Amino acid sequence: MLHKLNEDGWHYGGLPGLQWEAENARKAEGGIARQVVEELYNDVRFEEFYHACINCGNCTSKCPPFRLVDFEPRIVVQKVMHAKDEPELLYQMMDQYIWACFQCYSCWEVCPAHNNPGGLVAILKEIAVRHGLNSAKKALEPYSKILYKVMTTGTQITPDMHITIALFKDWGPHKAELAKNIRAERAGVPVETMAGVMDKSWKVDEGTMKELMFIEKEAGVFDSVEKTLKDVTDMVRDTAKEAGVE
Amino acid sequence: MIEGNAVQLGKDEEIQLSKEDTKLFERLASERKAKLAMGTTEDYLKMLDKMRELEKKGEIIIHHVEEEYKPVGVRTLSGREKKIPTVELWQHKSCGQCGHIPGYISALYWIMAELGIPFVDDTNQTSCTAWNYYGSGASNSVALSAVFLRNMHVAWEKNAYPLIHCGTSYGDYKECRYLVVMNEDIRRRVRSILNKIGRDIVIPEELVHYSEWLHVMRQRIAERKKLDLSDVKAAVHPACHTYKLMAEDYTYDENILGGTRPAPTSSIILALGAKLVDYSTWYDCCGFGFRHILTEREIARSFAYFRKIRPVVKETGADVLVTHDTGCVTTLDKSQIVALAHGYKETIPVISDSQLSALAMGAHPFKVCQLQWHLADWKPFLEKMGIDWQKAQGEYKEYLEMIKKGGKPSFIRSPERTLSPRSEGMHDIKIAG
Repeated sequence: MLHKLNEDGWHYGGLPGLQWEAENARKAEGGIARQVVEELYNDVRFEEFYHACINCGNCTSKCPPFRLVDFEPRIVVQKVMHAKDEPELLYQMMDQYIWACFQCYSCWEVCPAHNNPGGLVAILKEIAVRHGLNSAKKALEPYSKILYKVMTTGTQITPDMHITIALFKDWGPHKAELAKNIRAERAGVPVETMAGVMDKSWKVDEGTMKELMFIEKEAGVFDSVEKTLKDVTDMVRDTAKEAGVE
Repeated sequence: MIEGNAVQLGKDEEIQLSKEDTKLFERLASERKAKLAMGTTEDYLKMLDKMRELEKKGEIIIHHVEEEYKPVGVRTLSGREKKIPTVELWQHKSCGQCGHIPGYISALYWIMAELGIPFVDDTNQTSCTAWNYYGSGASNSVALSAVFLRNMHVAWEKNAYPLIHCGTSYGDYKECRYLVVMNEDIRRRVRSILNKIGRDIVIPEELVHYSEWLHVMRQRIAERKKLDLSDVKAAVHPACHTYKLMAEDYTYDENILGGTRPAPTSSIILALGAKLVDYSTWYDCCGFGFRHILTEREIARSFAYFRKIRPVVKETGADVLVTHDTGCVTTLDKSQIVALAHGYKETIPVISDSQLSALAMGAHPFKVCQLQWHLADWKPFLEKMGIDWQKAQGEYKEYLEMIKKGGKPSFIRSPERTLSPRSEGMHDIKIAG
């Protein structure tokens, strides 16, 4: 499968592939790797998001994370393009590499072939979560509370994040200042749907949350997240059950 | 490169075009740029045709921008005219704005109340849930589309036109609309879910971001201006998800920056009489990154500071950085403190275009615009606008004491509506378990 790699770790037409990457790819479980490729190619968005790549690098030139970390949308599209022949390389990329994407879609706007690398990454992340891959577990774990909140209330950024300085402590003294009076500050917001609401972004009707959880359940979101974050999904299911959804 | 009516083709090659031909050339260049998103401009326009076809077949309901919404036309990147409703608006709130930067919304509501624009601020609304999706992959096309259409159905029931506050919701909804219209399987699956909660597929004829509303209302806002902004230098950060995600559908105006960049926000700054300044990294994102702003913050703040804040301050000496999205305000504002702690000097206040407009119209900087939630030093900027921030701060302290003693704020309310809701009340979930 990886016969195209030469001794220096270069593969398919000059795209640099490091030796360790090739080694890691060889360790990948072939069955899952092929399944991931199949799911990617069968996603309804795939035809819209991938056309052909001429390796021009426009996407990378506009990519924000490329400036700071090891991530290139060009590499993503190249590996997607060759995924049927070399599924292990695509699969290996799902560990850490794709999680660096900012999802800003600068790459999509500048691609002369109309590819949408950010969109491809979004699909790959979704597949990683659905399969409960370790990369997804690592990425989602710090997210647990937010994930629970958004899945049950439909809002995720809430003023109670400012009760302590533990979250967002790099906001400096401003954060501590805000934390001191946060309840009064929030109660004083002159918008009725927001004033005093600490645990949601705004006041959300019970029935609205019920409809949301029903949508997620029916659309398979509970099932897909379960493999990655079982504890969170259990809590979400309990909340849904209490609301009369599960 | 176009200069006057001359088009530079190469180093020593240039052709002169008539004014009409120049416009045509610019239009072609613009359309060429537009052929860079979900399919092509042609595909995008086909999607709009398909939407009308599905309406004729009775498969979907289109929430049209009828005359009762008093629409104003704008040109989008695709070249087509888009109708922006100006009254009777259903406020599609943003989770990030409402949670972290409440002045963003209160300023917008305050402007509408001042201008006598009726609106609906609904508690029967969820966020688009797409911040979570882009960050974590924990959702899917069917769920995102159903969440989108549930919110749109509520707006339709209330007989108010959805105005989307968040750039990500706006971009995500454009993607979802494309998928629902163009993909029969997604449409079938989404309809099945919606039917079970007593709803159906209602798709807005136009998806409208609030910055587009401010753009078309800019003259009316400028007429109500109380402060002189002629000494204020303002830079703009256009939000990626407004103009890069389904790029065809955002507002461009040949009178604003030559029609080569998104018109909203720059246009309101110009209308208010401030100086619009430019910088080399205008195209770069803010560094938000969805996942990164929450769990990989060193990457988000490094990008925000070194690719945006420093270039803006060093290249332009701007007094304020104005943007039109949730994540951008948060990231650009909050990412400055660590760099300052490390000895870097550049800093600039970051606010939304709604806050800038409200301040110019005389809104209270703390009670209405809620600047106390913003980190970067806004004092020099307020002074440039001629606002006595110390007096305002004193007033706000008294206000906060009143609140602490159990007092209630004077809520910003919608002027009386002229349209009646189509129906009210929650829908029973028919199938559960």
